[in-house]
Amino acid sequence: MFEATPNVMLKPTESWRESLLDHRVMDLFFTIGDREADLIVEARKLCMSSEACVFCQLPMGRSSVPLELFEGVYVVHRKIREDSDMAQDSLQCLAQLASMHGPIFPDENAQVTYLAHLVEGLLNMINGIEIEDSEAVGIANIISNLISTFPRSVLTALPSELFGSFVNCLTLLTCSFGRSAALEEVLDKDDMVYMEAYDKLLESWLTLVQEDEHFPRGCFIQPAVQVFNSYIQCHLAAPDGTRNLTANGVSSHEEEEINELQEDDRELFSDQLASIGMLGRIAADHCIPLLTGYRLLIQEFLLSMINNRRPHVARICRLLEDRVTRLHGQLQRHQQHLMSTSDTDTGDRIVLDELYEDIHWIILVSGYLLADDPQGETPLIPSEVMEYSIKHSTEVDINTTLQLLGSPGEKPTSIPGCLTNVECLGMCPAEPATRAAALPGPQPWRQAMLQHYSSHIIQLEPGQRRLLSAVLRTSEVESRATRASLTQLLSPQMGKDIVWFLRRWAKTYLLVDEKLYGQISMPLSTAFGPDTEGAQWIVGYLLDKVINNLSVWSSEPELANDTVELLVTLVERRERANIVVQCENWWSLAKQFASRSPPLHMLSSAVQRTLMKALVLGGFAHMDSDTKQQYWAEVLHPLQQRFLNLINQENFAQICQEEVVKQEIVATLEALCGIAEATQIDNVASLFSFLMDFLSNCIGLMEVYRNSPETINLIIEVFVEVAHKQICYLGETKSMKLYEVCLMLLQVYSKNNLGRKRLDVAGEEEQYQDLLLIMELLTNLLSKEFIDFSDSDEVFRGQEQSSGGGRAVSAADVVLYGVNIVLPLMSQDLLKFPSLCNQYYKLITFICEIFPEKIPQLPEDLFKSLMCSLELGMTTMSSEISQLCLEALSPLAEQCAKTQEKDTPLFIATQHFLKLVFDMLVLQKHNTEMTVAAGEALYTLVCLHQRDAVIYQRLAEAFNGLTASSTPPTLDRKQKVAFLKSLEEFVANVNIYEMQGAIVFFPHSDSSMKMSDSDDEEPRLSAETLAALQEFYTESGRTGGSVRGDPFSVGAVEEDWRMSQFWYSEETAARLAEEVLQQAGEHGRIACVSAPSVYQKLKQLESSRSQRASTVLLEFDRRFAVYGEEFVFYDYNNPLCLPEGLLPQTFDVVIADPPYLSEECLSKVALTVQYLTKDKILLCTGATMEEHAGKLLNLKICSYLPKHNHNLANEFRCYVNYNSTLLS
Amino acid sequence: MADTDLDFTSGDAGASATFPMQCSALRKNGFVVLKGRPCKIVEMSTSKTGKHGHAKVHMVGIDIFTNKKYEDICPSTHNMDVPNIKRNDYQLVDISEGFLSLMMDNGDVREDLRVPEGDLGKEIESKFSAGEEMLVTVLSAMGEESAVALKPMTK
Repeated sequence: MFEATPNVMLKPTESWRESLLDHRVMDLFFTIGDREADLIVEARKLCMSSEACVFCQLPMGRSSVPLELFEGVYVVHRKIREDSDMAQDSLQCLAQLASMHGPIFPDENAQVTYLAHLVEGLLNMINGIEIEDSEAVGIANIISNLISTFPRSVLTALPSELFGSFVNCLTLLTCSFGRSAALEEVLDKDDMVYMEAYDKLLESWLTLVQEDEHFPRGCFIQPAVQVFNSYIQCHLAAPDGTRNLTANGVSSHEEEEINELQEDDRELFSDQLASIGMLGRIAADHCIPLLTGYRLLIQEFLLSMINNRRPHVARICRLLEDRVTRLHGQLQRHQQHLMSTSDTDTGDRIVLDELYEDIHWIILVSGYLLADDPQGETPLIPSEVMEYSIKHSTEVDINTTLQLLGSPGEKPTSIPGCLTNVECLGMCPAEPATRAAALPGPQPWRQAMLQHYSSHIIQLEPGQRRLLSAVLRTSEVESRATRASLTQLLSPQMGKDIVWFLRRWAKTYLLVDEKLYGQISMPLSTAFGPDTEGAQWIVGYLLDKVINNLSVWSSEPELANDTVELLVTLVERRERANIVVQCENWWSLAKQFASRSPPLHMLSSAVQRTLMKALVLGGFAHMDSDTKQQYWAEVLHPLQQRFLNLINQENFAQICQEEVVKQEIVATLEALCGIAEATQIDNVASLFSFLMDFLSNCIGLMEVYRNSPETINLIIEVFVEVAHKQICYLGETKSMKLYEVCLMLLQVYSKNNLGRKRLDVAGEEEQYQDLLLIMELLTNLLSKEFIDFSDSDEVFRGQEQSSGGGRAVSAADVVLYGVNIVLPLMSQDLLKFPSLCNQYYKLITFICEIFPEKIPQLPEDLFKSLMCSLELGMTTMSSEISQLCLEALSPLAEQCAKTQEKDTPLFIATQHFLKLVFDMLVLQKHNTEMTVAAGEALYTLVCLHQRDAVIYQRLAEAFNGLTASSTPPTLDRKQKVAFLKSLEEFVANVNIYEMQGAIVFFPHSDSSMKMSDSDDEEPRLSAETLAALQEFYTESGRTGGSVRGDPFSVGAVEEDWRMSQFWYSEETAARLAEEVLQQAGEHGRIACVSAPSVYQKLKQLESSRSQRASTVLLEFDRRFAVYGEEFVFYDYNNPLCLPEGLLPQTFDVVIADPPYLSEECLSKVALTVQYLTKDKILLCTGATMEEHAGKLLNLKICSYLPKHNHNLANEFRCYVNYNSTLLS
Repeated sequence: MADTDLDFTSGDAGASATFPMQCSALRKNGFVVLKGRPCKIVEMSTSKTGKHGHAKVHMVGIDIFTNKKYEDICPSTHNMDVPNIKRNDYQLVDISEGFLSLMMDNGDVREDLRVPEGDLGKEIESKFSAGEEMLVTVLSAMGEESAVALKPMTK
């Protein structure tokens, strides 16, 4: 088929095919530089380069080369796979081939054929071999590229048999990688190759099943079941699963210290879990009951603890009975322990932990299966789950359900028909739980345990949701037990999982909005839809859960945090909040919190804030006005009342230092932050006026607590929070009010802080917390200019406009006042703290962008320090900071242009910046990400200063090739864009020399881009290939290869600017060659380090003269390998990685031309040079390197100016350490 | 503001030097008693033993008087002692033999506080000898006192 297309230019002949079969030839085939193979070299380079899509940019003809090759590569791979380095290369090559797309395919048929080939080859390859560890990621890459690149229509057009076996193979691979990944985790390996491969495959599954409507219906169900099962298996303990089992079946268990920085599994594995959840939905029929089944088992476990008798698991799952029985004994012992002493046996603890871990994973999987968590959007019930629920809805007897709901505490078995109903749906877990709950007996801990788990039991799948409420209620009634005695045995991790799950569930399922769905499951809407008893119950239950957690788990910050987040979820939507506020619990929680009574005050401050937020949000639920008034009277007013009472006390100034008073103040401030956090567009009006009262009082507090930084910081934080959350909604008058109080705050702050010196024991960075907060406040105030949702119809707006500029305070005034305070306090030392530094530059960039006209009005010394800090930020800080600084320059330059005034300080400053930016762009290393920002700044600066004759002249020259049109640049957008584009080209092409942009093409210049990142791996030959290559070159003699004509003429090998190669001009090469020959003397030894053109010249001279010297060329470019043994491969990144033949101090003279103008490069090359030379060194590099050359190698700069074939923008120089004629 | 009827020196006579607080409610930059010394918490982190273990709080505090570093780790359910901290500003009237003479709000002068060591002490002395008027902030906790900050008098 492809042969028929007119595009085929290179068709490997039979002889090629033959050679394809031998891996060495194959590899040579890839690398030899002769005519046709050149194309292949390119293909390979392209294959290997991370951006496979460059394929589409290839001319049509060339691109079919890889097509013919991939079969070959498969074969090659099978042959070379023992050698991991080469196997990596070939797999990567395949992965790139798998991502081929674009105009290369004349039509879809071609694509299908290509894909079929590819898949077939892949299957053959995989089926024939046992996959090695090192291959896993490569294979996963191929598959993932293949699935993400080829359109669904092409995939479905594959022969169904082939597609079937592909899916099959994918399934098996996924399962097996999953198992190996689990094993890796157990062994705690550093290099998680299988995990990476597994992630990749799961991701591919996600891509596949997300668009499964294109595929034959149901074709993914079986695979989904398998993958899902294997995942579950890997995460459950033996004998159901294989968790923690090493290869030989020994289970490992160790307790390690886990710190708070370690991510929770649900975040750490969120991608995996999302894929598994999706697969689970595909096979909902299988997976939901499976999960329930496992849960069931766990319920039985707990029951066995509770009932102290053999569990009735057999009925549910005979296979698992064995395990339960075995563990049952353990649990019994454990229980006895518990009765007699409070100590826990470690052995029992292990058993419990295993159990917790099982539950942990099951909850996680269930959570991801049942609901998505789209950030910011209203989460919908996944359609698969909805379908499942609808499908099963007919089997559910609503009456029974209602009866069940209506009779809490009663055994479901006692209601006729219920049990069958329960069983037919696999809803057994509810049954034992209820039964156990109904058991008589004064063992409070039983019920405590039960209650804890019941919250878990109730989370049955959607089809069974009606039962939820029943179980809830029963457990609710039965479990007013003291849990404290058992808390130490429970797992906070599991508690966390439970509330996380409940939150996820509540977001999606609670009060389903029918309008959002095309079809809705009856049971779902009757159970948890609006206005249902079920919804009320569950809300009540969740509230109980929250309250309970907050008291029992106050000491677990993460759990408490998840719990209050659940609470926020409950009230953040009006519909849910409406139900919440009807619950008595809610009111008691509110009262409890308002009165600061235990145990809520034991929560960490973050949790208390969120709790306050939730309480305020709840207040905006729908209530009749009396109730509402009452609510506010109980939630917010006590806060205000107590606060006012306190600060209005006559002797407040005297008692303010007392601990009780301080605590009260701190609690109030925390609560204010929480209230500010609760701001939403519809409540901003009332919250703002409430908070404003406090804010003015807070300014008084600033005075009172002027000497206690903790309190001051908290007060400023309240302001920051209010500005952050509310300013974008505020209308003009209200913003004005806020500006005013902020101004007052700043005044008090500066009064109390100017000249203050304190001895603070805290870490240095924390000492400046206040400064940081002030800057944050200013930035927040400024953000109004960017984000403004305020209502433009505000009442006073019209009046204010008519009164013109008669506004009392403007944002600019406040902010500039603030800057006046902040700038003198910010010293260069403080900029060393990353947080302060970031905030500072963010602030000044904002100011420059929004109020450029205010900058010249700053007092002189402030202006100066502002400019200095801009320069500092641009030149010495991280790339983000310099980007910010660059962004600040354009508005400043525009401002200058507007005023048309010269010789203002700002004008002079911009002149300085012009030079800086120019140098930065053209002469120094910089991050390519910054090119745009720098280019913009440069452009505006150039516009401003074009009348300045000298600079204009210089720039005009520099930009000769840059600006196509000869018209002087103006400030219009079109030109700017054109300028930016050509600048980018300019920077990328002409001056690639020292641009880091070169790295994109070649890894050799920057250590940060080293091979560690496998995705971005650059072409690099493996050792074996090199050996083979060298051998080949030796055989083919010196005239072979790509060298044309006289092999030793300069330019015989073409410059490759991607390698930063620039040959010397004939004269320079000759002059330098003469120089080294002379210095080396008769029979001397010369080393040319990265200076091939000098080497070539030497060889030429040698042949025309009698003088003999032995010369060695150390060079990175392997094209010079044509020079046989005199060529030594050299990579400056490994300066001393030289062949054994090169002995130290054996060269009379060494000439070096480091590829890059950087200190790093020079210092590495210097190592090589010092190693090789007896004494004499001749270095050719940029004039800018003079200082380093002197420092590193003690070299003096020569007046001789070397020239290149192509003009280089940088001044180039020679340096020597001996008396040379070059010097004068 | 200055209520001369109140005796400040005895104002805290009845208050205890410390009060208990659950570990989880402590905050960074707050205060706690570590190894019997009043400390400012400069680092606070939680950890747990095993995935299903209970939280433990790890605290690093710096003695507010001696600048010595103390560390402690305890279950987050435990109660820790928190020192009652007070800060008062006094006007500096004299320095003699390494002791500060500070005037309290009621006009009494106390002369029992040493000039603090280090930069702050030097700064106080040099400013004082240059004739500048200033307020000195005195921190007191658990029966100890020390000057911790200075602030030029606002005119």
